[in-house]
Amino acid sequence: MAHNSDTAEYITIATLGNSTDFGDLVSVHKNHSVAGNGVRGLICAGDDGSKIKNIDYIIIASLGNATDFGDITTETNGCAATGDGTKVLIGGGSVSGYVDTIEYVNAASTGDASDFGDLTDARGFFTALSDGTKGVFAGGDSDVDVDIMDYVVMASLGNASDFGNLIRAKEQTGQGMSGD
Amino acid sequence: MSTTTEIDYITVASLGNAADFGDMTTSAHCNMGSCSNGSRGVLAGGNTAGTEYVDMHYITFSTLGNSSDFGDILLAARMPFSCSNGTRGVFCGGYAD
Repeated sequence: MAHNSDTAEYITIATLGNSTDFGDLVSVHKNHSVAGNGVRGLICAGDDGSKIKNIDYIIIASLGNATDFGDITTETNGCAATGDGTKVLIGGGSVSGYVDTIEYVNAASTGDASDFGDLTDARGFFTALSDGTKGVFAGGDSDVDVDIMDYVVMASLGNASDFGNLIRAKEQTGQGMSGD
Repeated sequence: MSTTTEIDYITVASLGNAADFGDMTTSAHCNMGSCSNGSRGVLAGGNTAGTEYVDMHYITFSTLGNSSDFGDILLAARMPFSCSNGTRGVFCGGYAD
């Protein structure tokens, strides 16, 4: 069934089963990114038919609707986001072409995103994950599929460095996750 | 669009290339959402060309291997991206054509 979702649903990760309604987002987010600090979840940019730059947030422990958090700098879809418990980083994506920008917000506050640094390659529709120390951006579309992984140190503003390579070049890799 | 069932993993603390973790026990999906509680990772939704999926699968981080069935999300969707607090995972947004 075709739909553009402005909804949230939840599971209890330790318990197998179907998801349940959580609440509604401020707006439709597709081709977006989501990350959090373990308390809040931030739903970042994407598109609702046109590219958008708004960030919504939810309180993960409390069912209910999302609230406006702020904006990233430019309307962008295909960006990837990850958090270290304090910052949420939002990297890459498509503006008019793919960009290499990384922006950040402090998840516990509200407000607009600030510049963090640059990826090693402009790309979008890729994966980000963190162990709380490093943030790794993996794969993506850079007009061709890429196997690049690059990383930043989450606590320190700056540009990304080479991490290694995926098994194969991939885009639309979805979300990454960490067991840390 | 080609899709794959591969799950890659890295050790975030150690620079290096990704290695094979296992496979999704489903048709190959892209654009899946995921969340974890530190021991279990749950992957949800996703799509192949023209088809979105409703299923969720899980892996156990400490054990390389294929995914197992977890349950279903409410509507088939690509990019049901997620956040978690270690107990609850919340899937937010996404779409189906």
